[in-house]
Amino acid sequence: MFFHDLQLALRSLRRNPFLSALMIGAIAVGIAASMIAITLYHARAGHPIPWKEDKLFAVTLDTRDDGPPESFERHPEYPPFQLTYRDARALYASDIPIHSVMMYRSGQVLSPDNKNIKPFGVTTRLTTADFFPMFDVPFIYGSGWARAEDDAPGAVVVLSKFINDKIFGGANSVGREVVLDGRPYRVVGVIAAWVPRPKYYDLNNWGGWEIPEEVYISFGWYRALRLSPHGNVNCVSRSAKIEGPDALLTQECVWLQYWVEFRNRSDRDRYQAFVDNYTNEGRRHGRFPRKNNNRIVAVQTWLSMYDVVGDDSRMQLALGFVFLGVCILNTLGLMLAKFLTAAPICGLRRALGARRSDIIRQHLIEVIVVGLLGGAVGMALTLGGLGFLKVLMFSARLAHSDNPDRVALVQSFVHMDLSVMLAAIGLSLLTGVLAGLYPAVRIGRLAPATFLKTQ
Amino acid sequence: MEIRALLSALWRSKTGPLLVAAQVALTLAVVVNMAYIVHQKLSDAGKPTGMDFGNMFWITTQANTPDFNYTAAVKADLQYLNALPGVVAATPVNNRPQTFSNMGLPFAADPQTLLNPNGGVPGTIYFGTDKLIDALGLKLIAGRNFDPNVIAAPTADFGTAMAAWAPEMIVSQEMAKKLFPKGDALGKTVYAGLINKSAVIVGIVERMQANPLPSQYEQFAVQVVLVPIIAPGPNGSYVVRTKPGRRDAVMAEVDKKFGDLQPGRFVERIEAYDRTAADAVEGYRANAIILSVATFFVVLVTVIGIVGLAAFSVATRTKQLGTRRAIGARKFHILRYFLVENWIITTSGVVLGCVLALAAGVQLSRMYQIPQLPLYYLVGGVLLLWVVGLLAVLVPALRAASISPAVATRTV
Amino acid sequence: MIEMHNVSKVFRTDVVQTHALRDLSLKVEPGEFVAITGHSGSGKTTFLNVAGLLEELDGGRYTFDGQDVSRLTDNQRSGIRSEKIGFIFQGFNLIPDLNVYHNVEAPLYYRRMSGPERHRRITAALDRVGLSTRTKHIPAQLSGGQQQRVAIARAICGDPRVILADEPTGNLDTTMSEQIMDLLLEINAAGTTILMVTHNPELAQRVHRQFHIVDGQIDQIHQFKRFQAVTTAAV
Repeated sequence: MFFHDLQLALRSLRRNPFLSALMIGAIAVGIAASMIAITLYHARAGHPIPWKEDKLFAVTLDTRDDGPPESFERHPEYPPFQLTYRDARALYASDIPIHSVMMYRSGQVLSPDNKNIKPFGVTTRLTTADFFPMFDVPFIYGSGWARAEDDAPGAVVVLSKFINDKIFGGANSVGREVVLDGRPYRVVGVIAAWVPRPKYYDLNNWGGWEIPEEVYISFGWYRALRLSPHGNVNCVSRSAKIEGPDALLTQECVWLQYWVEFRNRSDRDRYQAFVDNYTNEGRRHGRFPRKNNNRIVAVQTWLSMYDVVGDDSRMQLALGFVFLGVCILNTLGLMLAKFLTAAPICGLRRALGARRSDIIRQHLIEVIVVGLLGGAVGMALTLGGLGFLKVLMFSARLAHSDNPDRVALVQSFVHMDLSVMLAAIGLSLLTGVLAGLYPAVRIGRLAPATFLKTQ
Repeated sequence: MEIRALLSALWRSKTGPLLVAAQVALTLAVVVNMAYIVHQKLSDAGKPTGMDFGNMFWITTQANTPDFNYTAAVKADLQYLNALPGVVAATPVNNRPQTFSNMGLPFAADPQTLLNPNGGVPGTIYFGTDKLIDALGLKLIAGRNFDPNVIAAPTADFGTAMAAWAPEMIVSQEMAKKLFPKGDALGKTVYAGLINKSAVIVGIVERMQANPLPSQYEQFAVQVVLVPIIAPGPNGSYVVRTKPGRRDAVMAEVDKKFGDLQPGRFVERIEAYDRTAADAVEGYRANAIILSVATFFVVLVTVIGIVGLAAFSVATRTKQLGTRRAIGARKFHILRYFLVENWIITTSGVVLGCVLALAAGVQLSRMYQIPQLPLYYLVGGVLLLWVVGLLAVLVPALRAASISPAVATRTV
Repeated sequence: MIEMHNVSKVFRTDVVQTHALRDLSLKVEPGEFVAITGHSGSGKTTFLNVAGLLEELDGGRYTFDGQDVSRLTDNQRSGIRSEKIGFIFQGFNLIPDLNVYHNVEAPLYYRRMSGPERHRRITAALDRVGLSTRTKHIPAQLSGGQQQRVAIARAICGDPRVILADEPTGNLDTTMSEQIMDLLLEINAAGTTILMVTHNPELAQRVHRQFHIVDGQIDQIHQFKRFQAVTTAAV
């Protein structure tokens, strides 16, 4: 019976190919628009490390001067998202978290042993040792370094897969030497291809939509090397004085990312108390003019505070859905028109014994077929549209890159993963039903006699 | 014209018209708001920069060895670049404009203001030699260029560079206006916060848009301070401007020779500046295109809806239309009936659409922090939909008008 | 009133050419009530279309109310229909989405007439056909006989010279047919010329003359004795 209805549906569609094409086309375009918007939004709205949602926290202190907010500040109540060197060092002393990390991004020149490869610039993360276990960084060879190495600091380096492939041909390079800015470092680990989306632990540079650094060295090197931060440096107090090389060590300027990991909830609460005590103490010595506004935020909150999704994605999503709405109304109208025109045939069927539910079911099947066909065409349009967008929106970033991770990051913006694809199928079914339910029921409810009268 | 009868008939079979009106309403809301947003983005992307990118390119270098003598290298590099035939000026910079890398400080005429939170005027700072203005193609409208003798030699790091702040500065006109609203900026002393240094404004340039920022961050883009300092190394950043038409040839020459000029450093990248500027606004342009294309398709779908309803209307009313002709209607009467009926449907959609458009507009203004939707967008949107609606219904209406009166006597 | 000389009408398709009317001549005097009979396919409907200026004729001459209307433009024909001809159709042809009042009003809009004038005529027409109490009903709410009476009201409200009726009782039962016929006779008695196409031989005999069409031509003409109109049409 279902198969028979299906045949009827297909025949009905074939009977008026132009109208069918319009209906399928309207649904396809609506689905393509909303699916593209959903894909773009979904690519930016994911949680990069959900299994650590209740363990991993960013630490922020409100070190700002007490004053009125600037006109362009959307959330003046949020503290700055980085710490000063003094505060980072002070908090690092706490043993409440099982892991703590302070870090920042910079750049160096790598001079390979292999003289066939010319020296080139790399992005460097200077970080304390806990970075690797905290963020579940996957290693293919070796591991990170121990906390003790941060103090010395040890001349150790962790390489990304990209760099390891480039200078060592992808071999196990643990123990080998790498020269950065003329100084030798011993490789202790190589990271597998890893692109957290977004790069939540450091939202500088493209709002978190950037690949992780290419090499990692100990944060302890900052004092000796004074590598300048390639991120936001914000002197939050007017009392800060930039008068020499030690400014970033001593002044009220925030430039370090600081994260902690806790064993359990109560440790987190204890830490909050510890941090609040710290700022209370600081206030007694003239720092922290504002009331305590120390936020220890989990990743989800962090991402929404610093709006990694962005206004444009949200607006595109809204536009996509409005578009779909217009298309559903459109298809509804076309379907209603079509069914009403074909009404006499239904009347005939009813006269021959079809029940009202048979008519409704037959039309619903037709409606669902239109929805699915529209969805299929819409899917093709979506993929085409995403491909076009990749070129339109990201050609600049793709052009500057020989790092496959960056290419992978850009691809991921326009990549439709399985969940989105399933959503597309569901959406086309829903669209078909929404567009066709009313027409199908309305046809079913018409009394058969009304069609059988001759005009 | 039989308006009452028309409205009465329309109301009796209102489903189709209501669907079309709803589509028109949503479309109006979309068209109006997207037009505004697209306009905003394009205007953010299209602001005049005050710089001559068509004739400019930049070079970035990095040091090979730890004992790289940056100071000597910079001097030699600049000598080479400025001596090249076809080059107007070459300068080292701390940040290349249009790359969203910035350095800024608060400035004020009165140092006391700088101690207040958010006091003073934020200025984006560019380091360079006395060739800076010419290398960027800026137009000096008051005062003079830097004295070559005050150019500060490169220091070991930025902190020290700021501490050795030079005695002269050149500001953009916007900056001058903010610092000295009375318009007497030239020759005045300006204090810089955080570094507790001051300098005298010796020159004012007409305009410099450091980066294509959205309009609510305008002040960080156009309030520019130029200082005669050679940026610290070891990484080098040079901006070069050539005579018109000579840029590509000079770039090719530099590409060949520049890397080998100095031992201990290599060229990271050489790029034509108009490429950089275009990349900087890629996001705006891309967004503008996406929104425009989407809006176009929304309008197209609604047009299909209008045409569909009209065609259906004609097809189901064929007998009725023939009868009207039989009882005395001219073709013109039939055409007019359809156009008026369609206009009523479209206008009901438009009225609802205005409400939706304004509501959405309020939301978008709040979200993007842009001013409220100007009403002329609404007017434009309404006119567009009227025109589009009229054109869409024209063919079905003409078809309807050409239905023969003899249709009335047919019995099939 | 209606004079046709050798009128012909040809329908052409790619394959075939049909002479629906060929050399048809007749004359209808003002005030007459004539019936047109003929089998299906004889050309009755085409004759009515041509007579009512719904279609152009291909050959011959047609004089209507003293005017040569053989070669007029569409607008001119519409104008004459509007002022001088009233139509009644077998299927009533009322506009389904309009109520009785607006249905009757429809043809008056195509003439220059003020609102009060229209109202006067509509009320008078509806009175005449006995449907003044149902002005707000829509056709679906009326019986066949009532619908046809609305159609008649629509046909007469413009004070036409001629009424062309195409099988006016074809969709009605015997009682209603009688009532409609009585109404038409009344209208004719008041001076309006009526041409009625019909299948029904009994009805055909109640009129002044009957033309029988065969293969597009007038075949026979019957003359009947004068008759008395029944004064009221009972609802």
